Amino acid sequence: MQRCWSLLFAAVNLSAIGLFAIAPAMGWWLPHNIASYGADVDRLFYIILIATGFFFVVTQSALSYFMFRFCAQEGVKAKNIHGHFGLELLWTAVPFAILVYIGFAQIPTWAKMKYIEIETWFPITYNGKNLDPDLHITVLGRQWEWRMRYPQKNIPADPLAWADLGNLQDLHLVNELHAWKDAKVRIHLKTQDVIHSFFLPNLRLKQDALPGKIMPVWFQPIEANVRYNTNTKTLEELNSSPWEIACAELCGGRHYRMRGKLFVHESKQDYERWFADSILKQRLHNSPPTQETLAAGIGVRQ
Amino acid sequence: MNHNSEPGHEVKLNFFTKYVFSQDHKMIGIQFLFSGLIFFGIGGLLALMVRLQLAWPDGNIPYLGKWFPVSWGGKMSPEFYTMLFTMHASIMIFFVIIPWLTGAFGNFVIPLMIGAGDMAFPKLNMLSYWVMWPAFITIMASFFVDGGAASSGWTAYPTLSNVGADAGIQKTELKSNDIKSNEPNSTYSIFKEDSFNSPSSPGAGMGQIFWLVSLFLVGIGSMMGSVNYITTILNMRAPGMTLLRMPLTVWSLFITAILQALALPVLTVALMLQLLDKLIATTFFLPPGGLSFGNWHTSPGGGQPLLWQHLFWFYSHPAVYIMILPAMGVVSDIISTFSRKPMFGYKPMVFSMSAIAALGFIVWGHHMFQSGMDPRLGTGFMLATILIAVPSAIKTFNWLATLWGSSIHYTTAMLNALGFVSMFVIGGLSGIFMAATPVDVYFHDTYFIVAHIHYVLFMSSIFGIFAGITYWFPKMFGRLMNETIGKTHFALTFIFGNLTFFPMHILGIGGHPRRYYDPTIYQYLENLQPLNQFMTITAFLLGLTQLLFVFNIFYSVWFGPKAGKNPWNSNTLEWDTPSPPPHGNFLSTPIVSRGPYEYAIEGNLDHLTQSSPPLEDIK
Repeated sequence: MQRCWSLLFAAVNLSAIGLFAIAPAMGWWLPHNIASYGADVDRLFYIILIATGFFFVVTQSALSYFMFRFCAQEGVKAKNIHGHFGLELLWTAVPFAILVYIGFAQIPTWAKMKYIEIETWFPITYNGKNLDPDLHITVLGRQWEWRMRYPQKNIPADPLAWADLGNLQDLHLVNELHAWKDAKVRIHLKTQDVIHSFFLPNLRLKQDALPGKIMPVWFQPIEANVRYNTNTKTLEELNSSPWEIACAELCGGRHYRMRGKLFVHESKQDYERWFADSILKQRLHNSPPTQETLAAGIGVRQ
Repeated sequence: MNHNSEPGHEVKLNFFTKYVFSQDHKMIGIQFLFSGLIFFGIGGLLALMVRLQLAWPDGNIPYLGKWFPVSWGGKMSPEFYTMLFTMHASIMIFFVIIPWLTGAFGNFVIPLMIGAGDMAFPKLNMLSYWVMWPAFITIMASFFVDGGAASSGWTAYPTLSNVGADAGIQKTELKSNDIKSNEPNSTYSIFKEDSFNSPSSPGAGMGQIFWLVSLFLVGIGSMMGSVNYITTILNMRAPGMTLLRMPLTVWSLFITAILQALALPVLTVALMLQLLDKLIATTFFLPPGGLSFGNWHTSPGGGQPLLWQHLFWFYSHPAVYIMILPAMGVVSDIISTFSRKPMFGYKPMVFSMSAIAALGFIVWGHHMFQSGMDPRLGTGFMLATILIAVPSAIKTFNWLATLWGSSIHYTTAMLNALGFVSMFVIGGLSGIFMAATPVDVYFHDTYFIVAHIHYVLFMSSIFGIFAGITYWFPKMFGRLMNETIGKTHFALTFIFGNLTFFPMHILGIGGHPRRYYDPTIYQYLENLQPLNQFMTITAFLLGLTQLLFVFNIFYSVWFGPKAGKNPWNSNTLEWDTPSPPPHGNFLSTPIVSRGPYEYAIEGNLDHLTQSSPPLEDIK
C-alpha cells in the first residue's frame, strides 16, 4: 500500500511528459519562425530540451523506482553507506561537461542576435561587421503603443543622428512595422516614458526599451506576409495569422494593449511602392491635396 | 552569558512576555509561522483573482462573476489586475516564504539543533520579529490608499515605479500637439500635481511608497535575524558540535544568513534611493533626458533606470537561494531520518550549498539579458548561471543516492520532502532554458518564467516548508499532526499544483507574455486560452486544498496525539529534549560525539543520536 506513493509520482511525471508530447500537435508550441537567426535559436532550444528531458526522465524514474523498491519492510534494514567518491565525481563531471557544451553553444547565436563582434579565441567564428543594414526604422514605445518612424531613404546619411532627432520627411506610423523579405532591418528602439519591451514572437526577438537610451536591434525576415496592391492602395495579407508585436515588460495597466503588427513585403520594390504612397498619404493628411497626390489617387474619398 | 542559556533556569513569564513580546527563540519561530500562515492565505487569494482574470478576461466568470461589485461592471480593471500580481508576488516572497524559512525554521531549529539555550541576542531576535509588524500594517494599509496598492510588479522597475508628481510639470501648451490619443491621464482622473500620485500608473503613487517602506522594514528585520543566526551558529554550539557535525538544516540556514547579511544591505539601499526619488524628487533612477507621459514632463534627471535593476537583482538573485537553500537543508534531514539511512554525501552537500551561494552572487545579470545591459556581459553571466546547475545536480543525485538501499517510511513529512526533490528537478532544469542567452531572448518575461518560479518557490520551497512544519510540529506543540489529513493534503497539492503550474511551461513556449490583463486580443495566443481556463480551475482546487493544511495545524495543536521526546527516532539534538522544550531548551547541556546521520548502524542499533555517548562506551 505504501508503495503506491511511487505510482503517484510516476503518474504525475508521466503526464508532464505527455503534455509536452501532445503540445505541438495541439498548436501549443513555438510560433512559426520567420527570422534568419530563428532556426539557430530553435535548434538551441531543442538541444536544451533534449538534455533536460533526458535528466528529467533519469532522475524522476530513479526517484519513483527507489520509492517503490525501498519501501520499509519488516526485518529489512537500510544499508549504511557514507558516500562514494567515484560516484560524486561522475555526477559532477558529466553534468559539468554537458552544461559547458550548452553554454558555449549559445555564444555564436547570441553574438549574431546582439551585434557582438567576436574574435576567434573561442570555437566561434562570427563577425558582426557583416551586418550592413538595408533599412533603418525608429521605434518609440510609449504608454501604450509603438510609434514607428521610417526614413525617406532606407539608409539615412547619419543613422544615429537620424534615430535621435528624426527628419521632416519621415513616415510616421503607429503599431505597424514594415520591411521586406531578406532585408536586414536595423531598429533604433526608444521609449519616452517607462521601460517597454519590443517582442516579436515570430522573429524570436525581444529587447527592452530603456528610458534615456537608444537600443540597437536588428532582424532579417526570411518570409513575406503581405502584398501591396497599387491599384486599390491597400495591403493584402498573404496568410491568415498575423505576425504580432507585443510588449514584454510591465509598463502600466494597459501593458497588454501594446499590440502591433509586422508586415513583410515580398521585395524591396514592393516596400518602396508602399512607402511612396504612404508618405504621400501622410502629407495629404497634414496639408491640402496637391496635383501629385490627386494624380496618384490618394486621398480621394472612395 | 545571558540568563536564557542557563539550562533549567526558572523564568517567570506572564501572558505578554510568553506569547507576545517573547525573547524565547521557539516562541518567535512560532510567531513567524503563524503570521506567515495569514499572509499565505492573503497571497493565495490574490493569486486566485489573477487566475480568474486570465481565464475569463471578458468578465464572464462562471458562478463567481455576479459577486463582483456592480461598480466594477462585473470585471476588474487593468490597473487592479496589475496590483493583484504585484502584491501576490511581494507578499508571497517577503511575507511568506522568507519569513517561514528563515524566520520560523531559522529561529525555532537553530538553537535546538546546535544544542544552545537560545539565540545569541534574544532581544535583537524579538526585535527582528516585531519590526515585521509595522511592515505587515504598512503592506495591508497600502491596499486602501489613494490609487491602490503597488502595481509596478514585485521587481518595481523604474521608471514605471519611481516617477512622482513633484518630479515634473504639466505643459499645457503641448496639448495642441499630436499627442492626443491614448493619454495616460485620461484613464487616471485623480492625478494631481501636488500629491504623491504618479503619472505612470495609479499604484505607482502612494501605494508604491507604502510598498517601499514595508519592504525596507522587512529588510531590517531580516538583517537582524541573519546577524543573530551567524553569531549563534559560530559561537553557541554545544561541546563536540563541530561545524562538520552540524545537521544540513543548520548548514543551509547558516549559508542563507550569510547571503542575507551580504545581499540585503544592497536592496535596503536601493529601496531607500527609490523612496527618495518618490518623496523628494531625487533622480537616481531618472535618465538625463527626462520623460514625458502624454503632456506631462519630468525635469531632466541625472540617473539611470538600469541602476535599479542591477541593485535589485544583486539582492534578489541571492534571495532566490535564500528562498530555496533552507528548504534543501530541511529536506535533507527529513529524507535521512525517514529513509533510516545516512545522508549519502554529507560533505558534497555542504560544499554544493556553499557553491550555490557563492555563484549566486555573480549571476544577477541573467535577469537582465534583454534589459539593455551590454550584451557582452550576458555571456559571462550565462556561463556562471549555467554552472549553478552543477551543484544543484550534485544535491539531487545525493538525495537519490540516499534513497537507494534505504528503508523508506512514508510519513507526511517524508512525502512532502520527496515531493520537493521531484519538483526541484523540474524547477532546476527549466532554469537552464533561461540561462541560455539566445533562448532567453524568447522566453524572457513569458509564462515559462512564471512556470519556473512557481516550480522553485511553490512546488519546491513550499513543499519543503510543509515537510518542515509537519516534522517539527511535535517539537513545537508537543503533539503530532494528523497523518491522514496530512497525506491527503500532500497528494492533492502534488496533483493540483502540477496541473496548475506545469501547463505554464507550454504557455511560455507558445510565447504567452506574463502580466497580461487580457491575452485574448493577440491572435497568436488564441488557442492557448483553454489551457488558461484549465489552470484557473485547478488553481482554485489547489487553493481549497490548502484549507486542509490550516485545519490540520489548528486541529492538531489541541487534539493531536501527544508526541514523546523523539517521535521520529531522529538523531539530531532537538529530539533530545522534551516536546515542547522548556525555557532554556536543554535540561543539561548536550555533549555531541558524532555527526547527525548515524542510521542503520551495524548490529542491533537502528540509530545513534548525536548526544548519545561514543559507541565503545555503549558496548
